[in-house]
Amino acid sequence: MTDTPRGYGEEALRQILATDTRVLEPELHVEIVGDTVVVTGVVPTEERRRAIDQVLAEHTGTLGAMRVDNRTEVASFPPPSTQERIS
Amino acid sequence: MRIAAVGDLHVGHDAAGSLAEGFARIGEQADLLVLAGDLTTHGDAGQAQILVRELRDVPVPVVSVLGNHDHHAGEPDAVRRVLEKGGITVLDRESTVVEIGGCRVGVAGAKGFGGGFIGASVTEFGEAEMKAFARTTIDIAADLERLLGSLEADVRIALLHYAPIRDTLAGEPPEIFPFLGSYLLAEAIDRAGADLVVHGHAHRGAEQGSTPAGVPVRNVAKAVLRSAYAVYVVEPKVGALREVREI
Repeated sequence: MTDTPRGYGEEALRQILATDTRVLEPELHVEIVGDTVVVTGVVPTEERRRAIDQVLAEHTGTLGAMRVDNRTEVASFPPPSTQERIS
Repeated sequence: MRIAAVGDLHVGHDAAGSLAEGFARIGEQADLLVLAGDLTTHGDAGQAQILVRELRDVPVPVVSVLGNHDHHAGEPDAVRRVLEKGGITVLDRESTVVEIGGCRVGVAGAKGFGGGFIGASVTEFGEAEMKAFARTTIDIAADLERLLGSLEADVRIALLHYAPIRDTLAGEPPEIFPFLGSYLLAEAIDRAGADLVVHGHAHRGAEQGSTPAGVPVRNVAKAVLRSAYAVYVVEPKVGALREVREI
């Protein structure tokens, strides 16, 4: 039996992050590099970012990676700072 | 008429206190706020309640459609009831007219659905599941055309969650375009006419586009705007759109 191709594990983890109600982020990028799963993308809150670590910790051992490198960033959507101009 | 628009707020149970500041000055900048769906992360009524609380100080009328996320928990009606109780008008293949300073702003709202775009769209053929997929969008587009065509208003807005054109999906993987929108929505808009089309759903897409007949289309997914909302100014008399992005 050969090792499971890496892409299957990456997609399985991406699907988990998209559907686990603690995260529900369908557009995170997941890549397995060596024994590490690297996650990049933008999340709305710090709580959501921590949830990624929690959820992946429950799955990585069975999906081709042992460690998690959570590189996601918490988004900032500042309020408008100028008035609109209408000519 | 100043239309503030944003979609894909994806309010979760962790969102309390995270949105209100972004909307604090909206009363100075806009006459109406439209929300282009995916208000919640997974359609939980409690999440809708959090959104209502975050928007409680918004002093302009708020009109919304639901998105696919708002259906995930299988209780879109509960989400809708919470929003409406909080003063937000929710449109599901429905329209409304808001009178603002003597101007009638008509909004035809529908979630929309997928199916793809000209040259690469699904057809109502084959398995029952595929027929149902195609038929869903056909029916929604027919309703959208009817709603827009019957709107008696000085400004007409089509409010969607799914995209009606390919242009505002630029940046998304082409493989998923059929799940992001349908040209049938644009065809309906072009037949009935509108001054502005607003949609969300495509977080990696582009903000600006237009239908084949030239109706301005704006993807207002929050991740695309990178701000709390965008403001579009529509002149009622000439139907011209001048776009003003807040900084």
